[in-house]
Amino acid sequence: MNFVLLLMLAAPQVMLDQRFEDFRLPTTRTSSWSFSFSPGGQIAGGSQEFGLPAEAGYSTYLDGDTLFHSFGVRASTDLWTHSDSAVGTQSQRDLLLTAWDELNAYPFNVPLLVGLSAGTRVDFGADNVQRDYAILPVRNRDVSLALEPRLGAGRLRDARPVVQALWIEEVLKQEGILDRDLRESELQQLARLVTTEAMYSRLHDHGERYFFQTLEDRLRPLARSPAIPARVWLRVKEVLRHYGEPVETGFQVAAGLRNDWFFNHDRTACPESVVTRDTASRYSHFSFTVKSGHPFTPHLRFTQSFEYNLPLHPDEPWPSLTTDVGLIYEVNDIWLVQAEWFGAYSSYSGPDECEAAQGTGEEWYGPKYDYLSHGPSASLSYFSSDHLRVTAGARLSLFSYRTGRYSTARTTDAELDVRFDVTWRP
Amino acid sequence: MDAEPRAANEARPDWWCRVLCMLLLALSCGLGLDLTRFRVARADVVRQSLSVGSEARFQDADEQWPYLLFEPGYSLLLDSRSDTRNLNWTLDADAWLQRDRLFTDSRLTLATGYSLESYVRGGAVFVGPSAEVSVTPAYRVELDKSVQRRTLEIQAEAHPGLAFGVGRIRDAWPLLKARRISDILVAEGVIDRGMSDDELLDLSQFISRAWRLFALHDRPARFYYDSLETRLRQRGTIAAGLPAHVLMRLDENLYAGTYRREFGVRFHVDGTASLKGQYQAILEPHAEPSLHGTANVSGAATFEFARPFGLRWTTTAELSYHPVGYSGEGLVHKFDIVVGISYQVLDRLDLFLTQMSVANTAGRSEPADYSSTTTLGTHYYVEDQLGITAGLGAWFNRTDRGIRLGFEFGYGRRW
Repeated sequence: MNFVLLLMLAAPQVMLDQRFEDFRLPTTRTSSWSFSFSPGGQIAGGSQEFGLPAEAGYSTYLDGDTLFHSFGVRASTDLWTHSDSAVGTQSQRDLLLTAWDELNAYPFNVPLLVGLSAGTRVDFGADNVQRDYAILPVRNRDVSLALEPRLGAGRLRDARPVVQALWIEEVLKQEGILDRDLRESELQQLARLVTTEAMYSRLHDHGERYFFQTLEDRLRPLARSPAIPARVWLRVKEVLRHYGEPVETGFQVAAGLRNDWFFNHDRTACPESVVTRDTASRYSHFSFTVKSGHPFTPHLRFTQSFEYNLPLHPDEPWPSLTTDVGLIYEVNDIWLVQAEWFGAYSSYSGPDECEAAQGTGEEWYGPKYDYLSHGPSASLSYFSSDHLRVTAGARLSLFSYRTGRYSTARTTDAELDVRFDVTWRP
Repeated sequence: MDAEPRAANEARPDWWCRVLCMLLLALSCGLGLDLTRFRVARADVVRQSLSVGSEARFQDADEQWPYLLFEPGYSLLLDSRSDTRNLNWTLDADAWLQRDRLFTDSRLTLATGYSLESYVRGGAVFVGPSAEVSVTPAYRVELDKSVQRRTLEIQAEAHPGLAFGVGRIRDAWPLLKARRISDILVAEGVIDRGMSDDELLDLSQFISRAWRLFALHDRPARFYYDSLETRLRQRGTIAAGLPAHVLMRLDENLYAGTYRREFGVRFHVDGTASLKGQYQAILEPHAEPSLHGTANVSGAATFEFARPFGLRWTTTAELSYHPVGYSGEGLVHKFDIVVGISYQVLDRLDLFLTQMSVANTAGRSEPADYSSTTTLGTHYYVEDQLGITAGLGAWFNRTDRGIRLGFEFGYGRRW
């Protein structure tokens, strides 16, 4: 018995395609700054309108196997006036400052995730706008802060570039450019190059030509002849543009706590008095995720995700739970077979139905409400380059919910969706 | 005594005419390739497609109904384009069957469309008949409080049209694109000197019929660039294959300007009729069937002029007249005049000036109206770093007038 259990546990590890396990993301870094200035206006009949918007920003981006870091700041300002002989002069001044930072790190090369997302937005506005048939000066200050620390254990990588590198290898062999299989090191090098394509598009407006120049430099020494036909590059481009599911490899448990603070100050100078309003609010949200992925072969893989969200603020009493288990068979860039089991659960425990109705004027769910849906789905997509396109899918959903003040019974529905679509162009 | 001054007056128009012709000739020849040499190459496409879609849903809750949907379709396309004839014919047949617990909806739509623009014996006179006809029979069964109601409905529409005129407007964008390909190949060092005018004309012939590759294939880019590369090799323009980054550069979209380079003069009259009919019968013993129909006719007369000068300048003018009939308003005569001139430095700078005027006569309840809009704009783009757009527009109509202006400047660095 113990031997069977051991065999069952060991079998997936043996079946794991090592090429996906070996994939490591190369480190790429880009930075940029930009400035734009766009004044404009209109004079029509008895009215004039002018605007003077300007924006400046800086951002930096670093992505690698052990560190992801993105940071940016942006400042934008706008001056706007509108004069109309019938209404008077309205004006608006606005200064908006935003900054964000996102960090995911695996320090000391151990499978321990430390993450932090932070963002702030400061908006200073002064308006002189029409309100209730009078032009009133209004000053507005909005400040918001967001902070989310994350902690996790384990390591989940997306080895999708390895699949794309294998497809590119297949195209090169079909077109007679390669007469042998790529070695493991060459394949990993090609996969790492595929991941840098996004960096080229961040660096250039026309990033594709620079990426393909690098790709060509890498592939030419491997090719049988130095002349690679145009058709081959366009086929490689099709592989890179093909949408595919991520090939997640590994296992990770992570938890995060998101906090948002909002502060607002309004000041309106009415003819008789000055009205000010200050508001402040805070929201907190706890999340817990478990994700794993296991590619058995380049074509067959298993994915699993579990996510639990718990809002900690009384105004958002909707904890939710979603889970997904999937088996995906991806033949090449034109075939995809997918089987999945999904599940979602959410529950609500709120004030009494009558209180809610008095407070909002709307009928609301009862003091207890919970909702559960789960079921299997399977889909098949086939796309032939010139003649035939087939998509088919089936999804069985089982709904179960309980609601209402006095309703204790659980209602269960089943829904089966079958979709089939064929297009043939002889 | 009177003969000499009269002769001098008669000679003056000839003199101006000569100067104008010389100026046009100098502009057209002196500013680069003469785009007016371009002629479209013939290409034909016949494409059929079959599609079947279906959807089923089964549920056990009473308030939500199970249903079944079945949607087969067939289409046929015939497209033939040449310098003297454009012919397009489509045939579509689409069926729809949806059934749930209370409702059954079935219908079949048969539609065909035909348009032709043919130059009589390859000359300057053209005729252009067109027609769109569709018929949709539908049968519905509704269950309302245990009473079954069956309805038969037939909708028919026909939109015949006829155009005829004199003159020819061609668009030389394939020749301009051939020139752009030549410029890129020189800039990338693939060829030492730009292609000759004959080579450009030959390449433009291929480009003008490449649309058939996009109509025939789901992934046409590989076929297009493969054919382009083969053609350049066969002509001896390039010795080996095109480098990958050059291919990607050829495939890039421009940030400014347009490839349109129309030229010629044309006057044409277009007329279209629209006929619609609907027959509806509730299949019950005492129900009377109903029949409704509408018909209206519209027409327009248009004069067009377009002329590119060299590769960068292009001028266009269009004058059109539409009699518009409103129910109870009588006939309103509407005139549009659009005049434009633009200057484009290939893919970097685009400068344009357009003038659009619209005037219409009075209807029974509306006064006569006119409006005019003049727009001057420019866009300049330096790859990856700098972009400038500026525009100024002035407009007026019967009751109001105004000026719009806008400017946009963006600069950035990436590393």
